[in-house]
Amino acid sequence: MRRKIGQLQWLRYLIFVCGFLLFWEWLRPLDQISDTGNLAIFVVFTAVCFLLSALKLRWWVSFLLKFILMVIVLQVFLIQENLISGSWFTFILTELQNNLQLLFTGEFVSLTPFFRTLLFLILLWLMSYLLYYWFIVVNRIFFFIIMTFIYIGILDTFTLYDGSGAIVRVFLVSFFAMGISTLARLYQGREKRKFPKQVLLWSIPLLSILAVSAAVGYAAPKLPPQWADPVPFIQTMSDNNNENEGEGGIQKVGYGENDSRLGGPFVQDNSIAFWAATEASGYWRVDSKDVYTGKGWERSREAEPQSFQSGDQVGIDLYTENVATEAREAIVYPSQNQVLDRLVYPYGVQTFFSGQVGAAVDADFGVVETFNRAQYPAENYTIAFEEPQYNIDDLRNDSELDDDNTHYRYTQLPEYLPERVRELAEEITSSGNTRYDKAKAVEQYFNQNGFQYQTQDIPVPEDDQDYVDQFLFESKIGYCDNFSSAMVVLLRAADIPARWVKGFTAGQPGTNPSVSTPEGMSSYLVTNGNAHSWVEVYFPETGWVPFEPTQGFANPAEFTSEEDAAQETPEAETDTPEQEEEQSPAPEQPEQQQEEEQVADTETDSASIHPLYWIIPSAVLLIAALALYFTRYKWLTAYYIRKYRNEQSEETYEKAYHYLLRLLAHKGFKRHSGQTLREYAVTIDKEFGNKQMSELTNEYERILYRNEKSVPAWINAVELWENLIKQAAS
Amino acid sequence: MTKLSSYHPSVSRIIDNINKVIIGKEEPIVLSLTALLAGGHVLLEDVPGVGKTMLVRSLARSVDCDFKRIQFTPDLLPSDVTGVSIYNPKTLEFEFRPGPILGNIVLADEINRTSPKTQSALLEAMEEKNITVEGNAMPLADPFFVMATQNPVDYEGTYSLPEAQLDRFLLKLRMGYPNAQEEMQMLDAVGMKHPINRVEPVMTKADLLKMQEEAANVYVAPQIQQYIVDLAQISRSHPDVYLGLSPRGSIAMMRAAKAYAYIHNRDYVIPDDVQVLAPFVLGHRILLRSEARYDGLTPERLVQRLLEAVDVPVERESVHER
Repeated sequence: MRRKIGQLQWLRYLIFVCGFLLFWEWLRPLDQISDTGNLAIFVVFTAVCFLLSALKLRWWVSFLLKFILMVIVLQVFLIQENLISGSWFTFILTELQNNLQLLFTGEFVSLTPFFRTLLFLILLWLMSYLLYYWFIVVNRIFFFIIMTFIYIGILDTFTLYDGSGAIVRVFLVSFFAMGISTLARLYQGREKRKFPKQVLLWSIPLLSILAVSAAVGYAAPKLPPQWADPVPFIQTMSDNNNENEGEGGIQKVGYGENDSRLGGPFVQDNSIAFWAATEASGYWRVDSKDVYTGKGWERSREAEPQSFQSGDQVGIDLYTENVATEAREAIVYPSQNQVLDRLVYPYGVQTFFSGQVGAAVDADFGVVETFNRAQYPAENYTIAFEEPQYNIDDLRNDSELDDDNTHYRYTQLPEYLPERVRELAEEITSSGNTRYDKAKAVEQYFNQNGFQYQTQDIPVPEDDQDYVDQFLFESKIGYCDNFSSAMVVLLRAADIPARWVKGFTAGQPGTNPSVSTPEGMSSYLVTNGNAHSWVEVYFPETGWVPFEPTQGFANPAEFTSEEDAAQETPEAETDTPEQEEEQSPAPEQPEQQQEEEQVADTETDSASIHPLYWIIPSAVLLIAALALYFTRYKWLTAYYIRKYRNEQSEETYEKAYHYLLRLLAHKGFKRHSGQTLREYAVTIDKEFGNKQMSELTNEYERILYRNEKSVPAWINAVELWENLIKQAAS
Repeated sequence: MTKLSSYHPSVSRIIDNINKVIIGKEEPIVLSLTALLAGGHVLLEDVPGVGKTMLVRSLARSVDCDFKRIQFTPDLLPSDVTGVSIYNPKTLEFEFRPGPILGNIVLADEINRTSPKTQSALLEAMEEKNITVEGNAMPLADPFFVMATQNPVDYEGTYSLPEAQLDRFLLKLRMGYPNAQEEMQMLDAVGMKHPINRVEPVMTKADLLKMQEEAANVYVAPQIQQYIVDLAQISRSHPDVYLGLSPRGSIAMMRAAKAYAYIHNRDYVIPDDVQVLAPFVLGHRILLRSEARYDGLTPERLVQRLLEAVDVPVERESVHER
C-alpha cells in the first residue's frame, strides 16, 4: 500500500506545483487592484510555504522556518529597529497591542502597514496548508480551479485588471493538473508495474491536446461578448431605481454646482470623469465655498473668473513660501462623455498647458472655468504644480494672528446655529493648545463617538433644523459632505478660520486604455463617484492646509515632522486607505478590490464597510467550518484512534466498531440496513483481502447478541480495529 | 446458503455420516437437523426420486432412532396411522397394535394423497405429541420427528394441505436435484451395494435428547427477538400479503433460529440465523394476495423483500435506547 502511494506521490507533487502556479494568479493582480507593493516578496514567501508543506517536515520545524521567514520579511520591509533589540520588541508589542485594539473596535481603516502585512503573510501561510490539503491529501482540485476562473473573470470584468493572459495560463495549468490528477486517481491502488509507461502514454496525449486546444483557442477569432458589459448595466439599473424614488433631496454623487441644500441619500455614479497621469497622487481640487447657511454652502460673492492663457501662472495660492514643495507634473484627460466645465487641479497648481481650451480663474475660490469645453470635450491639459509638504512642527508653531478680513470671512456662521454646536466645539478643542492640534482634535472626533459613514437614509434637515447640528447630534450618519461641513462649522465655532472644499479623490490606479502613461507618472481613473468634499484650515504663516474628517478616507497631503515621524508620516502618506485586515483566503482579493473601489469612490461608508467586515470573518468561519466538515473523517479517525486505544469502558468496543462502520460507509462501503454484520464483514474482507473485519465482527457479535462483557474482548481487538481503521482511512 | 462458521462436533459427525449415502445436499441435511433439534417437523416438497426417503432413513440411523414410514394413499384410514386394537383369541383381550406414528422418526410420504381425515390424524399427533386411540391417550415417542413429503407436480387426486395445517411444520424444504458431478458420484456409490447399509449410528437417542435440550437453551438477545417481531409485523402489513405471519410463526422462527445457532456451535442467535431460516420458516406461513401471485411473486421472494426492509439490529439495547 505504502509503496503504491510512494509511486503516486511525485504525481501529486506535480499537481501541487500546478496549484502554486494557480495561486500565483491570485496574487498577480494585487498590485493593480490594490496598492500592495513588493508583490515578488509575497510570491517568494508563498513559494517557500508551499515547498515546506510539500517537504512534509515535522510540523514544528516547518512552523519555525515559516515563522523565521515571516520575521525576516517584516524586518526587511517594515521595521526600522534593529533585530532583537529591546526597542524591536517594544515596537512589535506596541504594534500588536494597538492594532488588536483597533481590530476589536472595528477601526480597520487605521490598521498599520506592519499589521496588515503580518496578517497577509499569515493568510498566505494558511493558504499553503489549505492547498496542500486539497491537492495532495484529498486530490481534489476542481473547486480551486473553478474559484480561480471566477476570480479572474470577476477581476477582469469589474476592475482594470486585464485577465486575458491570466485566463490562458490558468487554463493550461489547470487542465494539465486535472489530467494528472485523473491519472493519479486511476492508478490509485493499482499495480505499479506499468506505471511509468502509463504516465508517458497519458501525458503525451494530454500535453498535445492541451497545446492544440490552447493554440486553436488563442488563434481562433473570438466573438465579441454576447452579453453587454455588466458594469454599466448594473449602474443603469441602480440609476433607474433611484429615479423611481423620485423624491427631492437625493444627491447624485459626482461633481455638482449647487451646495446650498445638502443632505439626503445619494446614488453612486461610476461613469468616468477623467483619466489622469500624475507624478504625485493627491486630491483634485475644484472649488471652495465660504458661507455656511445652516442648510448648505454658498459663496459670499459671485465668482469672477479672470481669463488666462496656456502657460500663465493661475495664481491659486493655497500656501505661503514657508512650505516646502516639490515640482511635479500631471496630465488630465477628461472623459468624452463628461463635459465638466471646470478644470481640476492638484494642490500647489502653478500653470495649465492646453492647446485648445481657454479658461478663466477665480483664484480666491480656486475655481477654474473653461470656455469651450463643449467644443473640445476630449482636450487634455497638463498641469505644472508644486506639491506641498506641510511641516507639522511649523503648523504647531504657526501664529494665530489672522488678518481681520480672512478671519471674519472664514469664521462666518449662521446666527441661529444651535448653541450645543458651539459647546461641542469648545469641548473638543479645549484639549489642544495650538490651532493644528485643535483642528486635528476635531478631525479625529468623527472617528469615534458613534459616527458612521453611510450613503443611504441620510436625512434632509427640516426647515427649522441645522444641517450640521442634525448630523452631529441626531443622525450621526452621513457621507463626505456631512463630515466636512461639520468639521468646518465646529472649527469656525472654535474661532478657527476654515473653509469647505470640493473636488475629487485621487481615483483608482489603472491603465488608461487610450493613452499611454508618460514615464515617471502613474495613471489614475477618476469617476464621478470619486467626487469628494473636505476641509481647509487657515494657518497665517502656512496657508490653507487640507484636513480630512470623513471616515474611511485618509488625507493625501504630505505632512512631515521630526518628532513623531514614525507615527504621523505613514498615516498621512497612505493615499487611499486600504483595509487589509484579516481576510479569508479565497475571497480576499475581490474584497480588497471592492474596498478599494468604495474608498476611492468617495463612498467609503460604514454601511457597506461594516457589513463587509462581518462578511469576511463569517466567510472565514464558514470556510473553516466547511473544511472541518469535509475533513471530518480525517480528524475524527485520528481522534478516535487516540481515544479508544486506551479506553476500556463497557461501551468502547461498540462505539469503536460503529465508528468503523461509519468510516467504511463514508469510504463507499455502505452496509444496507437489511444486511447482517457478518455478510457485511465478508464484503469488506474481500475488499481488503484479509479476514480482519470478520474477526472483529465475530467478537462484536458475541458482545451484541450474547451480552458478553466487552472490555476483555476490546483489549484483544484494539489492534485489529486500529489496522482496519487505518486501512479504511487510507 | 451462507456458510456460518463450523458445525457443532456432534452435528458434523451426523452430517458426515449422512453424506455417505447422500451426495451433497448439505442444506436440506442441516435444515432437517435444525428441525429435529428444535423439536419441529419438516415438510419436504419435491419431485419423487431425489432422495427424500434416503435422507430421512440415514438421519434416523445416524441418531439411532427407529424409523417408520407411512405411504399415504387415498384409501388410508386414520387407524392405519395411529394403530388399532385387535382381539387376541388366545388371551381373550384386545391388543393394541401400534401404528407407524409411534416411531421416533416418521416419514409421511406423499401426505397430500390421502383424505383430510387421515391427514389431520397425523397433524394432530404432531401438534399434541400424543394420540388418542379408543379413548386412551397415548404419548408419542421422544424424540418424535415427522418428515412429510409432497409432490408439487402431480396434483391429480390430491388433497392439498390447508394453511392451518401447514403452520404445524417448522420448516418447508426442497431437496433439489444434485448437480452433474454429484450425480456421477452417486452412481458410483450405488454400483456396489446399497449404501444405506453403510450408515452406522454415530450417537445414541439419549445424546439426541440432550442436544435438543441444549438447543432450546441457546440465548436469544432481546434485539433478536425484536428483529423477529419486526419481521412478523411487517409481513402482516405488507401490501402483497393476504395473511401474514402468525404468532406461532414467530415462536417457530425463534425455535428454529436457536437450533440453527446450536448446530453452528454457537450458544447465541445472530441475525444471520434468522435470515438464513426465514424463507423456510416463513415461506409456507404467509399467504400472498392473488394479484401478487399473478404478478409472479413467490413467498420466497417476498421473504427476501421483507428481510431487506427490516433493519438488522447492530446496537446493544442500552445504546439503542439512548
